This record gives sequence, C-alpha cells and structure tokens, in this order.
Amino acid sequence: MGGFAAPFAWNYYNFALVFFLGRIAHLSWEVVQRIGYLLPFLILGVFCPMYCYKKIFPHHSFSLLAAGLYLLNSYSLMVIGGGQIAGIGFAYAFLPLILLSFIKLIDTITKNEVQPVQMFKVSLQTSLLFSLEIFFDLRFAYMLIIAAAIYLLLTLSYIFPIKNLSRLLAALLFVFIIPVVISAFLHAFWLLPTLVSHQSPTAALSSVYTTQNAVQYFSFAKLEDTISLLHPNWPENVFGLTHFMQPEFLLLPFLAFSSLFFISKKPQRNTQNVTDTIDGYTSWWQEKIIFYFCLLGLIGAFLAKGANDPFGGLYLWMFSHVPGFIMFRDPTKWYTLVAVSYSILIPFSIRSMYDWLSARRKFSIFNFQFSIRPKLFNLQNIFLLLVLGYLLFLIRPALLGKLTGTFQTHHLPKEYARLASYLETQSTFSRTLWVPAIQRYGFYSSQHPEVSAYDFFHVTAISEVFGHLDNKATLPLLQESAVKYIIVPYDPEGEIFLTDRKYDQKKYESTVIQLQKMPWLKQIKGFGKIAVFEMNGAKDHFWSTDPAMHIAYQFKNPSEYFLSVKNAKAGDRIIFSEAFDSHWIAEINSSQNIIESRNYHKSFTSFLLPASGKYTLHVTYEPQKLVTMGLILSGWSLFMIVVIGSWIIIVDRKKDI
Amino acid sequence: MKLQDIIFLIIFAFLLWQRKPLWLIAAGLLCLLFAISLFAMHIFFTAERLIEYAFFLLLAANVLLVVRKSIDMQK
Repeated sequence: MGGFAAPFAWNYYNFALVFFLGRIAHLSWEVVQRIGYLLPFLILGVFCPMYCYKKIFPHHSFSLLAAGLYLLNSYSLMVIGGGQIAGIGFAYAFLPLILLSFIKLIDTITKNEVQPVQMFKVSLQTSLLFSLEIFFDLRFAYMLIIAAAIYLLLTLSYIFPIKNLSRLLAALLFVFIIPVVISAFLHAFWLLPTLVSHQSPTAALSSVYTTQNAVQYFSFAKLEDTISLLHPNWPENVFGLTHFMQPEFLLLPFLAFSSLFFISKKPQRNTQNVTDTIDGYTSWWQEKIIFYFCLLGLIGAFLAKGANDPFGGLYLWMFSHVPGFIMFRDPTKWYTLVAVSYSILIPFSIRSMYDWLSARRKFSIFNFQFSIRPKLFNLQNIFLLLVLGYLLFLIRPALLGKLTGTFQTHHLPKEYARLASYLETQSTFSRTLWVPAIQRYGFYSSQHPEVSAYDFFHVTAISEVFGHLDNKATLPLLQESAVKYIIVPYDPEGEIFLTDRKYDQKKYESTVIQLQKMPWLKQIKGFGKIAVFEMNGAKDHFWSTDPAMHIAYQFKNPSEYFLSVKNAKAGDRIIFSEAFDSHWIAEINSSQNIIESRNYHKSFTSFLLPASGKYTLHVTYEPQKLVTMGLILSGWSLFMIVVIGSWIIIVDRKKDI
Repeated sequence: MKLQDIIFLIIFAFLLWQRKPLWLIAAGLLCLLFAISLFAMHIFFTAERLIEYAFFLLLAANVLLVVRKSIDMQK
C-alpha cells in the first residue's frame, strides 16, 4: 500500500539495468539476463578470487582453484539458482577484490615509511570499490567493514605496543572514516532522504524482518553446515527444507585449516612485501594472511549459523544491540566470509601438500626402497586428481543438472500473459489483491499495483486471510484501498500452496471455492487456472467522501500527481489510497499554500480542503526532492573524486620521473 | 554437561597449558575426521559435539599462534 523506500534505494541498479536493456534497448529477457547479469557475474566471480589469490601467493599456480572454490560452492550455487545474481550475486563475486584492497590499505598504513599522500591514494581506491559494493548490496559492505576491522586488529597485534599513537589514528581515519564518508557522499541519493526525513529504515518492515523470533526461524544452518561451506538448503533450494549432514563436505574445513601446518617454522621476518617471498617458504606477511583467513573462516562459520548452538544467544544479542546487524535476519549471508576464507586456504593447503609430495620421490616400505620417476603418474599428480574429483563430487547435483531455479528453463504460462494484457487495458487505477500471496509471474504496474493478502492483513496463513475476508469490515476497507480484483494465482512452480513443502492442489482448489462462495465477488472466466474475481465499488486512487465532488487527476510518477477538483466544500476530504505518510503534501493552485496530509481511518493519506470551490492541486512526496538533491550531490562527489584521484596519480608520476 | 564435554574440557585445558598450537590444530582436525565417520553412521549428537570441539580447538590454536608471533616480532 505504498511506503518510504529510500533506505532500500541502494539496490536501484537492479531495476535500472533491466529498464535500460529491456525497455530502451528492446532486448528480450533472455538476452538481458545473459548480458546484464550472468556474464558479468561469471567474469567477476572468476577474476576477483583469482586476482586475490595471485596477489597473496604470486609464486603459486593454483589461483584457478581459488576461483572454482569461490564460484562453485554450494552457497554461491544456491545464490545463482535462487535468482539473486543481481545485487547479492555481484556483491559476492566482487567481495574478494575489495577485501584485498582493504588488506593493502591496512598494510600501507602500518608501514613506517609511507607518506600520508600515499595512504590517501590507497584509501581513495578502496573507498571507490567499497562504494560500488554498497551499490550491489549494503549487507556485503557491512561484512567487509567487519572483515577489515579483524585484519586491522590482527595487524595491530603484530606491531603491539603501538609506539606511535598517530599511526593508530591514521589507521582509523584511512581505513574506516574516509571510505565511509566518501561512500556516504556517493550514496547521497538515498542517504540524504533517509537521514533528513528521520524515518527509520525498519519502520517500513513488519515484525517478520525485525524480531529475534524471525532470526531464530531463519537460522537453518548448524555449525557443521557452516564450517563445511554447505548451504542448509542444498541442493533443492526449497525454503526451510534441510537434510541430514552430508559428511563428505567436512573435508573442506579439514583441507582449509590444514594450512596452519604448512606455514614455515622460520618465516623471513624482515619481509613485508609478497614479492620478497622465496619459493617454498611463507613470508611474514603470508603467514599473517593465513592466520587472518583462518580466523575469518571461523568467525564467518560462527555467524552464519545464527541463533543455533554453540552460543546462539550471542547472535541474537548482536541482532538487537549491534548497529546494522538487523540487516542479517537471514544469517546465511555470513557464508561469504567462509567462502572467501576457504578460497585462499584450500588452494594454499593443496599446493603445499602437492609440493610436499613432489619432494618425496623416494620412499621405503619394510626396508624395500621405491623410487617414483614418472612425470605424469606420480604421487603429487594422483593427489591433485583425487582432490579435483572430490571437489567435483561435492557439486554433483549441479553437474548432473539437478539444480532448480535459474538453472532450469522456465516458460511464462499463457494464463499470466493473458491476465497482463487484460489488466493493461483497464484505464482506471485499481489494485489486485493476490490470495494468499503474489506469484512471481504476476503482472503489476503503477496503474495496477499488486498486494499480497498476507501483507495486506498482516497474517501468515491462508485460514487467517479468510478470517479477515469473512469479516464485514473488510469489504469497505478493500474498496477504499482501490482493490478491484482478487486473484488466486496459478502456482506452476509450487511455491505458494504448500503442505509439508510440497505443492498441494487441494489447498489451491479450496482457496478458489471459498472465494466463489463470497456473494460480493464475481468470477471472470478466461484466465485458465488463475482464478480472477472482480468486486464492485472499488474507489479510485483519489476519491472523496462527498459524492458531489468531482476529482480528475494526472499521474506523473509515483511521487507526483496533478489534481483538478470541482464542487468542493470547505472541510471536504480528498482521500489518497496510499498508506498514510505525513510527507505527502498538496500544493494549492501553484501557490505557496500547502495542505498537509492527515490520517484517514488509520490507514490512508488524506487532505482536508480549507474552502469551497475549484482547486488545482499538486500532490507530491517531499522526500523525493531530497532524492534529486542527493543525486546531484552524488554526481558532484564522483566528479571531485575523479579529479583528486587524477591529480594524485599525475603528482606521483612526476615524482617518479 | 555430558561426560564427553568434561573430557573435552580436560584435554582442551591440557593443550592450552602446554601452549603448543600445533597440538591444538591436530586435535581440531582429528575431531573433524571423527565427525565425518560419525555423521556417516548417523550418530548425530556426538558428531555435532565434535564439530563444536573442532571449532574451539582451531580458534584457540589460531589465537595462540597470533599471540606467539606477535611476541616473536617484538624480540
């Protein structure tokens, strides 16, 4: 029924790309999906972890394995299969590169001889990457800050006691304050309206998103799942459907944490740069990196299990008390830290084991000496083949084509295409109420928004929906909400009418029959298995309690309308069938006179007319002006960053010459 | 608290007292290996406990290694 969406506008890219490729370039959905989402995801998903591994271990040749582990684990495959490539998928693929940038930044700052300009240059690079991550998904940016904080603490523990306090302050400034401030400026288009309008981002969300019960409900993964990088819904990806632990996945943490055995006993103490590393030995820096990724993997596994044991109460406490943690109702997002950790540790362990086996060309059993000469069928290559076979075995459902979701081809049912055509021909504004919930193929537009009955009545069961529909007060509420059609969706994907997580035809039929019995509904035939019911008396988007008043309105965009009102009497009320929000205002006859919105029936936005006569009203949502201002500020910030960045690069080059 | 938890705590305390991170890592990895066989035999309760033990052993090993290295760096 409408609401304040600015706090969630950081994922605007998701819709903008589809709009540009689909509506403006007129490309088909299949092409948009491949060019806009799948291809960039695959490129980023391979390049970022490979680059990260190569930068940490430049002498190792297993970077492709790092990419394979990061891109083809059960968590990332579930993200792809669940259709979350736009946003979450990109944020996931991009994360190793930004984490590496933070690591580089912290290392730069903690070195003694580095100048502040150099620190600022690296901080600026990191800030830009960090801003991009927010653009994809704010939660992943939050995870990055936590991961960076862990690395900073680890680095500081190495140089403890910190002799120079200014170095600690510099670390806080360049690692956290500058990236956060620059990102805030670049994201001013949604931050400005959110901060100025003083609306809590959680206010628009129901208790399903913000309570500790919700966290407990969403904590599907246990510690054995998270530490094994095994998504709890693998491989079916059916919400809430979990299996017995698949023990073969436990070899992954075994391989990952074996890396601690392979760090050199005497690392080169005075080498801070990776390039100083000698083959076969881990440098001081690489050793620190291995400790860091082990710690990151363990922390990620602990957080990803959410409210489950051990110490599940700690996650619940953090959810309620730590700022920003409220975004992690679904704790599985923390799997990303486990994935990035294992994508570094496992290839390192395998490479180390490979080297160890390569060094053992001779071995003896009961005093019999054996020597291994073959170049191809030797111990190390057999080991490598076994490991590769094992990793492929883990993702066998993907290789055998058993994964669902976007891994399978779906066709839009004809019924939904017919319904979309029918609704598009309806010129007046009206809402569609989907009982019990919206189906993914369901049509919606600004002229015909869709509403889920679960959300409308704030319930979670079909029986509760009918409890409300049987209530006499519901009919006028639906009419005032401009609901003209009540629709029972055809559920070809088996996502709505479920009993024990399986499609239940009887549930669907019973829903249709119960609606057919309602005297105030008339069924419209011709939509196959989609049951469409029309109801009389639905109000328009703008309407009045005074029948003599005539209202004509023009829709400009969802935050701006022009109204022409005739036969109005003083004290008449114009009701706008959108959820009440005090930021809606009506400007009278292009003057400075403004009518503030009032709450009508504790649900709708309304405007009280001060005098009788004709009116021309300009109804706007005030925070939208802040979005425009924010966009200008974001644009200027980007321009300034490019100018300052270019200037630093030019100065650096001149110094080099 | 079950008997297995008490045994774990005793071993854990002993390993910490010994201050040998490699022993802690080895114990953690052994717990993971035992858990694999127990999960395969559908002995879930003990297997889940072993995973928790592995988690704490590996965490302790990591912290101990970091502390030891930071002391080394000061010398």
